[in-house]
Amino acid sequence: MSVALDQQELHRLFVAKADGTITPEEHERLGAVLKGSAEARRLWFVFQDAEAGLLAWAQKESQRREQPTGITSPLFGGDKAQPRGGGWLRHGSALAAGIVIGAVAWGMWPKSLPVENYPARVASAVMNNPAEIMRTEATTASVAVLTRGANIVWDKTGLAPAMNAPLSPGVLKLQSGVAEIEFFSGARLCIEGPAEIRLVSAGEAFCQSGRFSAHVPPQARGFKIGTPKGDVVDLGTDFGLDLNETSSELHVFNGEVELYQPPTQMRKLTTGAAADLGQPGAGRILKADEKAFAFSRDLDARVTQSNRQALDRWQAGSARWMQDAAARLWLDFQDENGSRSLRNTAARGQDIGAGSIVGCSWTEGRWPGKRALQFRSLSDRVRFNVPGVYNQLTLSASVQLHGLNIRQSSLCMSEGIGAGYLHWQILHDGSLCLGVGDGSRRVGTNAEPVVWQDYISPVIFTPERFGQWVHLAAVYDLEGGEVRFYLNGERISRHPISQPVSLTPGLVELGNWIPAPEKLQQPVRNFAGCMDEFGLIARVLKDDEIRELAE
Amino acid sequence: MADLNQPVPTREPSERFITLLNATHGRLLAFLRVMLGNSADAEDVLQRASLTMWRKFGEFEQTQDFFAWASSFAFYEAKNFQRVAARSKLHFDDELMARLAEERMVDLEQRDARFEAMERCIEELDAPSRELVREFYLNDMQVEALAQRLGRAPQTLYNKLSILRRLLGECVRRKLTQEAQT
Repeated sequence: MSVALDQQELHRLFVAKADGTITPEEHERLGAVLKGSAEARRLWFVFQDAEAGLLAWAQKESQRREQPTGITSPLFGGDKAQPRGGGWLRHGSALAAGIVIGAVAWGMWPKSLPVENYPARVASAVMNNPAEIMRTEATTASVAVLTRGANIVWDKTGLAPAMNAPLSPGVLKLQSGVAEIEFFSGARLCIEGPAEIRLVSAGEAFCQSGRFSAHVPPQARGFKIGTPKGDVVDLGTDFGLDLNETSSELHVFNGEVELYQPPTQMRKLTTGAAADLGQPGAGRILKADEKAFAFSRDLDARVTQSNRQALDRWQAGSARWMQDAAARLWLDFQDENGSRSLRNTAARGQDIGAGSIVGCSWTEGRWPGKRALQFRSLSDRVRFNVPGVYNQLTLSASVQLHGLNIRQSSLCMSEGIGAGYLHWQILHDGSLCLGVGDGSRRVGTNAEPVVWQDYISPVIFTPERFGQWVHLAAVYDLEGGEVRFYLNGERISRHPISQPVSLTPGLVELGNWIPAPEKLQQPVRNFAGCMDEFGLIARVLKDDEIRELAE
Repeated sequence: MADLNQPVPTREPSERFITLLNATHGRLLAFLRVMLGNSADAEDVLQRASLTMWRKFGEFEQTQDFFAWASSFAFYEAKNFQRVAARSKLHFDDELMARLAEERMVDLEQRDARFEAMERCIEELDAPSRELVREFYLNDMQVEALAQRLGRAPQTLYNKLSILRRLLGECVRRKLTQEAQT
């Protein structure tokens, strides 16, 4: 079983474990990744302290509000302030008799909050606190981005960032292959596996082992790389680090670096020089050897080759899926350049035919040679008519989301609001939603109003995922009584069907929605991003089939 | 259940015990949390472990580190708790529990700094978000009831909270990194 996870996914499992909503499969993955990765355990500890901190703050805050005047919370206090069913630990006799023990979590807080009354504090915070930024602004802890890679295999026991994923401070373990990381400071680091590196900040990294080739432009001057044998501070240059079991060497190809190995005095190395970090006092300067770091120059060629292989694998897989006996709509987006229609390649989709493209622009998909449609303006959409009644349906899409600026972004939505209609969309908070119209008759008549059943997944799209290609799937299983959502082949949530409704998609749009064609004003629901594959399959795909789809 | 016929230690050690337990209560909870995954279970287990500690307190030597002594009771009580709850609950296996316990002993040094960072991060939240976080943690993290009271869909509320928890977690890590640099 693969246990490598990215940080967003790991955080989701942490939350599910803490809240008791974790499934047995998820628990197994969490256990495996915690067992295998020291970095994941460190993040788990930080998460648990954050949770404890929030609980303690909530208790302290409520306690503070109950106090009429500005008295700070005492360390061990009055009966009024009992938290979460715990009593105070005061009497030894009560203890001996087996009475509940509980000290106050907030008693452990190192310092107390300001003492004004709550309403005043809120008002002043809103008016005066320039630090109050989370309300309107998304924030990120990222310091770098994974830009390119060839044959990357991350160590199964650690985190596994996706291509174009922003990277937060933490440890990356590359088992094999070559990965290129660009720090937000502008420094670029090429890593050949096996290697281990800890990202510290936008201007600093610690290389534990492996081979590294760094390019530091003038804007990133001062970029620092720590190693177990000393620190390297870059003064705008290209250099290589070779840290293996037997030796540790620094090679400067161009420019100048400072080498710090206390207690030895700082040494400056310039173009063409190399140093053995294992012998700080030796003072012997070696000759830089560029050949040992050829992996960084060969990266272009390796990336090209690796992309071609990925495209070949995708083509073979896609060809199988379009032959699936239940595939009604299969769009590979490999239409001719400038085409205004989207070919339906599903073997059993003749009655659906090609879709019409409105607006949109053709662009590159996941790899060179893979084509995609970009949805940008509020007119961009692709329209299909999907006849039929479905009790089981799997929706699959490969998308790159560029942002979430509107309430709902359509992935695939039936036109209008009617019984049996389906609305697969991304909500503004980054969750997936499958809405199903329930009611006795179609819209447009004087029938009873349609009741909308919304099945909503946990949050998938955090800003870190914008710009990354992801595979999304939703399964509607009326016979099994369940709706399921998947991200990159992994099931992320399941929801019991609240009202049994057979789906009749009818006229659908990819990337947009027309709620009521007869009205003058329509709400904006356009998707902002790219799509390079879409499937609608009239059966329930099993977990491993969806994993196969995502690969 | 406690054996009531057992001689009750004299008043003085009981006060000492309480002082020591109070002083380490937060750290013991934090130690248990990483093995059990949530605060309610950690509190349950610490209640049980406290009784054992109280009964064994006569064996505790003044020169010993109380937290180290107490944490071993907490650890065995946690394992015991999971064995009893095994049929109904998902839990980490013994190997993982042991590793988490061992590493957490060292990791706990950073807890105060994380708390301080979290306090500053909460201050950066807008007032409605802060209020939502407060309600959530104060009410045993029961989203359903909170959603009903606020008239919102539970999943939407839950998603909002998970975004806030992620933002706060990232904020803490950012602040700690910044501090480490200065």
